[in-house]
Amino acid sequence: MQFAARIFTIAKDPEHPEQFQDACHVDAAGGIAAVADGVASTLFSGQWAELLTQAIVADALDPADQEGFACWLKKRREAWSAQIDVSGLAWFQKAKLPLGAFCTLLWVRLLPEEESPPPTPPSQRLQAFALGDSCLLHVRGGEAIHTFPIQQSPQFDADPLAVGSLDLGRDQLLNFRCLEERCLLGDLLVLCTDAVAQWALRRCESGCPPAWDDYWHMTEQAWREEIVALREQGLMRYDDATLLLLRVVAQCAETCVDAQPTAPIEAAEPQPASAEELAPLAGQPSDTAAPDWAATLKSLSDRAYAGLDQVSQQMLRGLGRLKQKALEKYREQFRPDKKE
Amino acid sequence: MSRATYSQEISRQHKACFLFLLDQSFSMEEPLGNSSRRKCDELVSAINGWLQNMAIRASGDEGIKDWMDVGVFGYRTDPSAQPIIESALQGPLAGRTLVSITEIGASPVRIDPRNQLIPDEETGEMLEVPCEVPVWVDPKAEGGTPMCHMLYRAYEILSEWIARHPRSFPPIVVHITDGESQDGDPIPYADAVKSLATEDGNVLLLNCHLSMTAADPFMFPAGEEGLPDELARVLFRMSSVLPEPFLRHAMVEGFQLQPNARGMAFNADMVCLIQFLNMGTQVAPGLR
Repeated sequence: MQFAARIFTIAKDPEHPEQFQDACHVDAAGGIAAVADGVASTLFSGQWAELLTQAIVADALDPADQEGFACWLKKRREAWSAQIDVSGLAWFQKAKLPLGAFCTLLWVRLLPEEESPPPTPPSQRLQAFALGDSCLLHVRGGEAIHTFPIQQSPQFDADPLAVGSLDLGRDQLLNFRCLEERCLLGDLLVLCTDAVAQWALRRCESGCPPAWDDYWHMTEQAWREEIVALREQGLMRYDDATLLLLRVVAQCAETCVDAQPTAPIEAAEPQPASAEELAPLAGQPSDTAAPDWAATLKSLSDRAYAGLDQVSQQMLRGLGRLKQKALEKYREQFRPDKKE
Repeated sequence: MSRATYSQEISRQHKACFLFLLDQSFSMEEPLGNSSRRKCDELVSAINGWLQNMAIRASGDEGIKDWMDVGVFGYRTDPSAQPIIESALQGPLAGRTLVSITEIGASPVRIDPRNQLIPDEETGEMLEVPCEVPVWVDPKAEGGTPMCHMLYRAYEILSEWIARHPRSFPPIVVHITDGESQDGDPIPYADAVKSLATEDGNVLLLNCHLSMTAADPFMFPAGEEGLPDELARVLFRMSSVLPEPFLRHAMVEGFQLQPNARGMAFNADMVCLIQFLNMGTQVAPGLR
């Protein structure tokens, strides 16, 4: 089993996407994805979040292996230190630098079932690890059957656990929570940073859970407009927001996807199945065809999701380039030697 | 669904506003309780420290986020007893009424070299470490205490700000004095300031009294009983009842406040003053 993915992001200040400090990375074919929320009050936390999510997806990290984790973290910290540019920092930034950057972390991966014979219906093991308040909602049939690591909206804390880019001698506090569950074809894994997660849990608690399938089909522009409206109504906190939807499918197109805080753009709708694909379903006696129908529909659905995923990725790559250009322009504008 | 009051998060769209009103009368020359330094010296240290911390806290990779406006006003009288009500910010920001925290961070008047005492992690001994401290406000102590004039000016400044930011978290006014008003009864003026409101709630007026004596301080009292004198009772009546989010935040910080506690400190020393500033200004969501 693999993932088909959709990613939605919006910066705390939509007019300043360069200040977005969440990160998200997916290896859909490998069945692994990670989300991180860079702590806004620290420096270079967006880079730290980006670096960690990419590395987790590449390395399939197991935090239960303490020695291996410590070694992995040390290398990531070295990479962060090598990557950041501290040459032009102002006094107020220099004062912050000794604390380094911080981010929360959440990642999920699919693993083969260990049972023999394999269970029916086919399933895979879902593993999730979390540090801090980025959340996973495991949705089946439109209902969140697990929420992890936070179960109730009042549990969100202003000061969640976060992993630091410098060793401040407090790594013993990095207590990752772990979830292991069965995952079925068609399940939806919703990974989100805290603002979206708190809103989603509130909706679940009020008996009116988010219609996740609608979000799957939503354009990024429509999603951003909804988030802006929720913020204005006081229903969602002003914060960088990331929503990663992972549909568990039999097979998806190749992919590694990362999140980009993008300028508004229309996303493509899922491609409908062709008439030829639908034709064999017509005229089948309902009693004998039922199992095949289910399988065929699932296959069509998966292909539609995979098609959408490919379109999304093309879009994201394009938007990534746009973001890079915007960043270069911004940096050029504010280069210290250009200031009067 | 109606929104709770004092819940608007601070953002570029919904900026916060902090206005400090500093007593610069002659009595601020006296030493602060539990300190060898003058009240005016300790006061500007606390205010400069607050500005420094807020600039650091609001900073990110791209500089300081423009999420709040800050005003620092001083009040005193001239030799002919005329009130002087003016911005205490100096250097490039002199004369400005409310200034964005982005500009504050970019424009200290100077950066003073200081020595900071920090504990040696291995030996526990206190070590003197050189550091740099930005300065925006310098001490002043002369003339009388035209408190009513100051509060009236605060009313004008905040009326304008609220008209431009009707949906923001309401402004927080921190008034620090060591004595009583010399230009009339300040309570009606304080009430006028407190009557100003954004859609998110009324302006919060917090009053802190600095003491020369090392007496027990009163922090956030809920009633007039037990307050030592009439000055304390006047400041109590001038101070806002603290809203529920403040009480919640205070509890997290280890303060057990009674319902109807007011934003007031009396007989404050330097430790109390800094606690008061931090507690009073961290209630705004998004600043914690």
